[in-house]
Amino acid sequence: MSYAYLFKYIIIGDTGVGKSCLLLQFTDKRFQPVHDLTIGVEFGARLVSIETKPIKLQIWDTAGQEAFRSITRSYYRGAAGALLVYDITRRDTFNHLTTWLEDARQHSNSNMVIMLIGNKSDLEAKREVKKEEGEAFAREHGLVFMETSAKTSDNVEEAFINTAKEIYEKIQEGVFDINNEANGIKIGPQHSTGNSSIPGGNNRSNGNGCC
Amino acid sequence: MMPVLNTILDSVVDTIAPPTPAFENFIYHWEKFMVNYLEWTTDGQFSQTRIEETNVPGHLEIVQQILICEDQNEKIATNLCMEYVLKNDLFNMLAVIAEKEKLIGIRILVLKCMTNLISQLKNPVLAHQSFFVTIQRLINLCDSVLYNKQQQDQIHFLYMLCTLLNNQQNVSIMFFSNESNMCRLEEAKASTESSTFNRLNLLDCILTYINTKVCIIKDCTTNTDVYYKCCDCILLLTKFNDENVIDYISNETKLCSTLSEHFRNLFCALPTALDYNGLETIELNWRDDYNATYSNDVTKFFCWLNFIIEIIRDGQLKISYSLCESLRLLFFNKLFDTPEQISCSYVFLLKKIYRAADHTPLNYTINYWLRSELDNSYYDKQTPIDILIKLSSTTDDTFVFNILNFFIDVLHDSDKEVLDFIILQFINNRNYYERCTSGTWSDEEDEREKKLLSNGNNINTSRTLAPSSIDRIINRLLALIPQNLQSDQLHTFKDHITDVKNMYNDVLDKCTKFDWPSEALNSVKINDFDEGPFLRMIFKKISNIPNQNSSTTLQLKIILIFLSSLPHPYLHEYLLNSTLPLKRNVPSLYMILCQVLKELHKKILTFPNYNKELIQARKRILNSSSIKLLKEKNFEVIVFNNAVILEELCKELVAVLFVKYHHTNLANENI
Repeated sequence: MSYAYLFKYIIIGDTGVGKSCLLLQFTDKRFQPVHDLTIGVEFGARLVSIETKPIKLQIWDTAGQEAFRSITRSYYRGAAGALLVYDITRRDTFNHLTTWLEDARQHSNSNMVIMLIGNKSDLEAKREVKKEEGEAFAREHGLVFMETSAKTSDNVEEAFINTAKEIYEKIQEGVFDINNEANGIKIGPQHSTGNSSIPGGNNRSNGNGCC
Repeated sequence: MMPVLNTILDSVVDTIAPPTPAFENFIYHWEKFMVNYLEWTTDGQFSQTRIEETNVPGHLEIVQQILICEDQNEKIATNLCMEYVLKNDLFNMLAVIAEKEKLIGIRILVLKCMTNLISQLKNPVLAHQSFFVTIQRLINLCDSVLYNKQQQDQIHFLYMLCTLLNNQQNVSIMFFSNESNMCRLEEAKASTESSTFNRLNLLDCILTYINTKVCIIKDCTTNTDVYYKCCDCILLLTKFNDENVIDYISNETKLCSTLSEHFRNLFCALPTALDYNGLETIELNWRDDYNATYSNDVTKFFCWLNFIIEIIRDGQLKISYSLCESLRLLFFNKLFDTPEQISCSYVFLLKKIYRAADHTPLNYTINYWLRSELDNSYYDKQTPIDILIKLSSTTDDTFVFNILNFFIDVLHDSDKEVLDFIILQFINNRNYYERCTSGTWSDEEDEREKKLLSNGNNINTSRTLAPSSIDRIINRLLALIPQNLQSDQLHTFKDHITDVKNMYNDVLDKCTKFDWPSEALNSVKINDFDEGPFLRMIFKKISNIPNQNSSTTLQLKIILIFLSSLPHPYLHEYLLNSTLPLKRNVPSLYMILCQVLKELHKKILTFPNYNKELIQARKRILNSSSIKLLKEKNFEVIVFNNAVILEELCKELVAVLFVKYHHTNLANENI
């Protein structure tokens, strides 16, 4: 579990576009066809390797419903990367991207890497948004774009890892101030010995020790 | 339960790969906590052991401290132990253990542990499903109806939660939204014991402390602490600034009905006879006076009144309006359910409530209620104002005193609709005016009217103020008191000018926005005149002055001066212009005053030394309040008091005429 960096991600987009399924596919490598609506926030973590460096991705999955928008907003700050997801089989989820992007830009730090994701690429027959449209939108707004399928796991791994790579590059370029944790990046506890002030740290054999 | 927990424990053991002693320690103590708990509740049995006799609290304490310590040493990201807790739903496991309470005291132990966590963690991720669902389960375990022995710990948890939500208001939607409710319902369905679990929202849970605390808690300090925290929680929640939360609180919680019903219960519990002397000027504050030494029920009622007013004043507007509406339906509308209930104290309390509601939306609600027809079997289709006017014909002096006092407050409040309902609707058709007179001074006025119409702005004094007869009107009023019966030989109205001027400016401020007409003009329709029940009652009481106590006379004087000072042309000329030709049988204030004074003076002249008595009465009146005069039973004293009050009334009416007249002239000059 030791890591060089920790990157905080946030996944945003309309309700039902597959945000939680993407996270589940990435962290647990499984797909859940029927997923409950996310209430508030969920999170998942996974260790990945970028240029041989172990990097921990801590991913906050938010609720797409309007009612929880105020909670979502509070998670933009302190995120290094964002996955902005739409559903290629629902045109309205694509149409709402501008609102999401405005929200994200307004509440996040300016260096946040945003990856645009057209999810449910396995449902080609029901497609309402062309891949080219997604690409055009990404180009126009300076985002990285990818179509994924949380069901078949197609491009899921890449989406998360490519975002991490971008962030990592930005760190190398010195764009991110890694000492400012508000940027969503944390240096790992390298060979950390923990904190001896933690209560109970040394009392495993005393006091409560009957069990 | 056992297999599930064992699986969890297995996974706990499996995932032990501690990079730091803190995490290792955390896992160790969590594991020990679980094992210890399971040992005491072998095979899912309910243990008779108290939790203090086990090692369960010790391990949980360390688990809690590690989480807090980790949080304090890290800055932004959720930390390893906390990540583990959320990922593996450990909090939820604690909540399940608390719900089952197989070990005596574990419910409160878990509650205290979670209280510490939410109050000490820098950023508890309340919005996380695992955290939120746990907190929600614990809220259910704080329902004071079901769990009434540890109210202090329970309310403390709720209070800390409200404080936290107040600081993180964006998360409050989790606790007050239909969406999260749906999630809870689904979760309840999934749970095997869903049917026995009554899901409460945070506010409704807090509200359970309002009714139950009194009977259960014997210890006074504890009781007060629970009361304060309960009230503070409600105040915090009603101030949250999230539209969805506000809507949810107004529409989906029992806030308004519970507060209103509790108010009614406290009202009904009040003693039938109250000590008005002590209560007249008192204003209790729910925070400072709850433990005061007055009669308990009275204190509780007034503290609760003050608390409700604070919510209405400081809470979100939508919530305030809902609460006012609920008070109207559940409290005010029920006040006149049965005629036997309506007592002197009732009216006194109504007045106190009215005063407390001043400058809040509740003031509008009460004014609206006062002029709305009631829908009950006894007072069907009557309004509270009608009922109070009828009740004022009683011979009980104190009752009359309280009713008139209430009316004085209502009039001073100057609500446009209420003024219209009580008086103006009856006089603004000018039906009192005799149009077909010949050879009277009114020709002169009509002439002036013609001139006014033809010359536009040339005449700068309102015709309604009767510029050509103002001197005559003033002299008539002053002459009502013969020289030998004046208690003050100067007999001047000038002493009253400053007070009247101030009052008139206040009244003008309030009434300019009412868009009242500036001149009294004849309406097209000619109908019989009816002065309306209120003025009828006032006139009747003036006529009765020789036979009634002087506190009533003093109150009548206040009412008349106020009505005269209103900048309403019809009311002005009807009350003050004694030279205006009135239709036959239309009561005239001037004529009534003439008769009353005649009768009163006749009585006075029968007393020897009446001059000396008048001077003494004058001193008495200047130093007395209405309530003091109420207690006076000596007939002779009352007669002299009444005479002096009427003498002052005449002078004050003159001062009103004077101030109004000069005010218009001054205003016109400025133009």
